[in-house]
Amino acid sequence: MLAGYRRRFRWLFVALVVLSVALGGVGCSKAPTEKTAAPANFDPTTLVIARDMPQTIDPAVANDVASGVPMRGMYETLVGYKGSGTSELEGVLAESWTISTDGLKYTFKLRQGVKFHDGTDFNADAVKFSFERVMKINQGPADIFSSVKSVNVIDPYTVEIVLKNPYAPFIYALASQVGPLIVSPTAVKANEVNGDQGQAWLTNHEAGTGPYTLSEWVPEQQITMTRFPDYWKGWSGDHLDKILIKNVVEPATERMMLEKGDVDIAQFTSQDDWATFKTNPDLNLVVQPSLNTLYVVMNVSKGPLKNLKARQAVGMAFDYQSVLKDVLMGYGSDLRGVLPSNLWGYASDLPANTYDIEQAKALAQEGGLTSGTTLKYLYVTGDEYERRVGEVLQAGLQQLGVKLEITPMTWSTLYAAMSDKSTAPDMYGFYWYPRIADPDNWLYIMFHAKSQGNRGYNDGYYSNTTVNNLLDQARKETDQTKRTELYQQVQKQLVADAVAVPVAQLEDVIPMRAWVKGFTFNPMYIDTFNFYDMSKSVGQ
Amino acid sequence: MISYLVKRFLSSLLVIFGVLVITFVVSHVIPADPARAVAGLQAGPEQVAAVRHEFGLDRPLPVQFGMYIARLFHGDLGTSIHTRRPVASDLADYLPATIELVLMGFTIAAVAGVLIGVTAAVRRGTWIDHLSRGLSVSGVAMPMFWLALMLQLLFYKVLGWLPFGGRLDMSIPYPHRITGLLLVDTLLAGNLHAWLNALLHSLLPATVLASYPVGMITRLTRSSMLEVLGQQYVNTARAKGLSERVVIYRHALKNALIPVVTVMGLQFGYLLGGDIVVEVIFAWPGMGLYATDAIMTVDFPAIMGATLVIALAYSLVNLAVDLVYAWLDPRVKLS
Repeated sequence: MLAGYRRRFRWLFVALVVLSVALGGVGCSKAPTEKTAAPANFDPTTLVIARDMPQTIDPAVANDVASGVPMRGMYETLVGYKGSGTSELEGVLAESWTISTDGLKYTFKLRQGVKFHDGTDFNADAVKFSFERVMKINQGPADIFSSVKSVNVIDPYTVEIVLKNPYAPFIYALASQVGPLIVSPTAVKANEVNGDQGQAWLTNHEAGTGPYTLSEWVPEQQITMTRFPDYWKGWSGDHLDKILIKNVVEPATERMMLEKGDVDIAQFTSQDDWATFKTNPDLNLVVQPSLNTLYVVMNVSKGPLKNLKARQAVGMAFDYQSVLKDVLMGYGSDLRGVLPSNLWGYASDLPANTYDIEQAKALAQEGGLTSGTTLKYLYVTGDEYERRVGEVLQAGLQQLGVKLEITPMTWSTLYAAMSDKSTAPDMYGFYWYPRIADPDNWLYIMFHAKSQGNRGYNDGYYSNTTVNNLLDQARKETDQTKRTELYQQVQKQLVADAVAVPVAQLEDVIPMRAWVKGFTFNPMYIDTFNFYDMSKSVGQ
Repeated sequence: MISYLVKRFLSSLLVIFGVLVITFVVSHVIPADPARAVAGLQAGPEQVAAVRHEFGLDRPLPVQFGMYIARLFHGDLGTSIHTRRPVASDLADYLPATIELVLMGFTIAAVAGVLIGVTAAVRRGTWIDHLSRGLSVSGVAMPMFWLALMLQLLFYKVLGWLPFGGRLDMSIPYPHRITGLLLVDTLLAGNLHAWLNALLHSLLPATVLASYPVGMITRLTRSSMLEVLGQQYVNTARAKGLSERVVIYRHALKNALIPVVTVMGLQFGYLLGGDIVVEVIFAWPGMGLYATDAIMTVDFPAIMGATLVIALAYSLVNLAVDLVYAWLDPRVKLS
């Protein structure tokens, strides 16, 4: 009887094996080595992006990349970063500007002949309205405008912004993705409900001056933007007619859609696929150094890491090259100190990071980081980089006889733990995505004593009076050369105090179809697109 | 019957209230700060406090819960901290998509599972029986995400027969919303092209969703049928000269379905709450994604709303199962 079962099941087993191999063969199909002809679904007028959906596109509330992508097409700021750089600014809705010598007054001459999507004119009243709306709602981007005292209309095309205190990064704040984005007062007031400043309406409608208008929003499915015919720059030359953002977050699905040509840009692909994309002539893997940085922040206020030598030991037990090579797979570079190397003010003479277990052991001994000590490392659930960085650190500390407990948490839970000194962990993985291309946006927010707890992100609870004073001084100083000197002193002190393990400066990777043209990467507009300048064409 | 339904309704209310209390307490006990998650990485403490105040998160827990229950009686499920929309509006957007997918998946699972299970039982020991058992084990054991990606790879990327996901091609405008179920709304609008397109979009995700329950239902139907087919009354029915089809489908199947109906009810509830993988891979905008986002961002009102919906669904499904029992087995009295 058993032999009978074996005979009957043999063919079924063989059939299943053949099916599995066939499916596996399909799944492992090689990428094309020659450029294929444009598929039948190629549409030169429409750009399709696969990524997640925003929850709101209200410029006074939205504060994430998912919102930033559509908003960059629909809204504009007064000034912007020029080209791909982060130190030079150009006028967008402002034609020119002046800053008073005391650093308190910013006067903007506004561009004339600009229309909002509702047909009304852009002018100084709209700028005043937009600023005041952000400050009244007091959410999302409002904190970078907390230094604004008043916004005054001088004439219909001249506006003056007065600050409470000199704040040198302010002009760069105006160039950020959350600028503020200028909205039509007419549209907002017409759709205001119960004094909500139009928040309910602007969640899924828009009132901007940008090159594209919102034409369709299907919740959790897609957003469609179409050309605004009266855009002030005009439409001569090659431009897209339509931008479509599709809600696809599964990396394998995005890869299939990108390779098939059903999407032009895929923003949630897996790092494991990038090597394949590089060899596919139909695709273009855009890789650029960003300003984003990754650290292991150490709690200097309590526990074993309160001792400087203990922190130095941790730094020496971390295999920096292994992370760059095996975790980031080459999509990152050495981070010395705290600031990224492509930011003005970076101290290029900082010492290299060193991985030396023997020296680490000696420092651990001196610093009281004895064998048998247990340290806790927290990271955000699902973040593979942070998890694997923890594992690299764990392996290094193991050689010192120190145990590292690695615990994942959701971001909101982790943040709650970090912002209370009594529950703050020994270490945690932390990215920094700057909103302003100014060293202040790293150094003050992460290391000034006033940024501890929920007042900022100094959740290693670092406090150094010299550093605090230098940062305060640099904020008020208007001369960039002097500011650079001050920030370089800060960086050197932070390295000397071993406040964090500087893991890497990250590269931004965007896979797209080779027929997408005109994309200019700017680290301050990371993961968003200069839609107006982009187009699609084959055979070039 | 009426008194039975009233009693079930009241007991369901009690169960749902208990579920809400537990969900509220557990979600608030987690040391998380949803206001920070919404305000953003670089928001200052004033902005975070403003968000906290806007959503009433700065009030004592019993006050928050009391206010929630009071609003619930007015049909107000609160405002989602993450989407900033009324939770009721969010559910109205996401729930129909899930109901549509679950109904399709459940239909495939129930029909295919019962048919295959009956066939396997009737043709016990043949290649059909062995194939069906192999498929049912595969359905139960195969990881859903793997099956979803493989089917997507085959039917979308390689063969190009079916779309990658979503509910409708981007070139087809959505019909006027009546039920939120695209397969119904497109028919009501008389748009057969859109109906067919919506059907094609739902085939892959519904099939993947059905894979686990079809395996369970097939195995259970087969074993239940085998037991029933061995009963004396089945032999009697054959001896009376009834056709094999009548014997199997009218006499045997009705009794064999009793335990199967219980499993079907549980599977329906499982499908309703467990389709997140399918929704992510096929970009299906349903409750799974909404509930997962709510949990990850500790969005209390959305968590409560999603829990309420799932608890209600389980209650209704259990009631339906009991009513079907009574129909299948006249000996069962509803009391």
